[in-house]
Amino acid sequence: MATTENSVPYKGDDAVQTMAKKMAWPLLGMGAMTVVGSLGLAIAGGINFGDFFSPAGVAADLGRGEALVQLTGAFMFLGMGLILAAITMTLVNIVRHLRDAGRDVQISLGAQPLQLKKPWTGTATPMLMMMGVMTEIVAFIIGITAAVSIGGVDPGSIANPSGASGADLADIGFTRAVGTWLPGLRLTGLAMILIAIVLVLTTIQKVIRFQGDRVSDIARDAQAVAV
Amino acid sequence: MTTKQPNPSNESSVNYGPLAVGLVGAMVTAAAFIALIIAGLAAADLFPATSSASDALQDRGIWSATRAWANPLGIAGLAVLLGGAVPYALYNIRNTISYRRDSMASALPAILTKDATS
Repeated sequence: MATTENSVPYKGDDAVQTMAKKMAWPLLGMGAMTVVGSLGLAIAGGINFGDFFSPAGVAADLGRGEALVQLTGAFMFLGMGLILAAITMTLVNIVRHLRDAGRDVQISLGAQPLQLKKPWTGTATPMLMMMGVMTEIVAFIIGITAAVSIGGVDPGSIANPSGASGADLADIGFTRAVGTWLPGLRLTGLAMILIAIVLVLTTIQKVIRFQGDRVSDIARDAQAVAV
Repeated sequence: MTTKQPNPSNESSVNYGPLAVGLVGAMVTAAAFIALIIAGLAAADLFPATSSASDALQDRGIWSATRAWANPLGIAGLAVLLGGAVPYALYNIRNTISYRRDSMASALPAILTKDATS
């Protein structure tokens, strides 16, 4: 039979699939709340920058604005990473449902329930997704550190670095340097999660193909019995 | 009742094209990240500016110029993933659903005949 080489007897969820079953919706909720929270931080940052450039503006407004910009980026990309991870887990749940539906159909036809042997795309999906989420978490921690650094700088030094103390200049330099490469790290994390999504979509394609082949095999067996 | 035979064009092995497109997008984003690290080193040299005025000007130029093109390049890499690899994978799934439909349409009559005779 065509499907026996790449199939195994039906078995339930493994650890990763159980995690996907439990975590998909909570992750989506956490991600959405984080992104909405970052929007609030961005608005607060904008207000502070607006105040700084108003006639009654003080340097402290600029300092708060700079710190809020760092916090906004940190929270926004963490939220995006969590949402994309939730989408990955939802797609894994589709794979689970396809597998279970295939089992029900095979049992109703009186055949032994088989499922597709876990393909390499299915094995790599959780690894890449976790790597992407970990990257976003690391970027989040660095972003918070940058926000704390710039928050501790005398606001007057941010407006005019030439008069800043050595410690303030070091903090400004750290924040500027980190603020330059941190977006790249965040985008790379998102790219890893998106690759995981492409992998799970490829797995879905494999499962659907397997089910088509399996039904053909069952029909072939039925014809052989009839003859 | 008419039954369709599985479309032979769908019987090729699973298509890894979306994965290839996705890896191109990820590499573009990673290249932008590396460029931004270099720009970050130039930015770190500026505060405090320990080098000469001309070197500081050069550092500022690298910092500003790289940020200007590398951030859009990173987003372009994500766009390749979202606009190329994911739709490509979904298109393949649609084709595979057609393959399964044809398999079912040709297999079910045989299965029903067996049930009727048993």
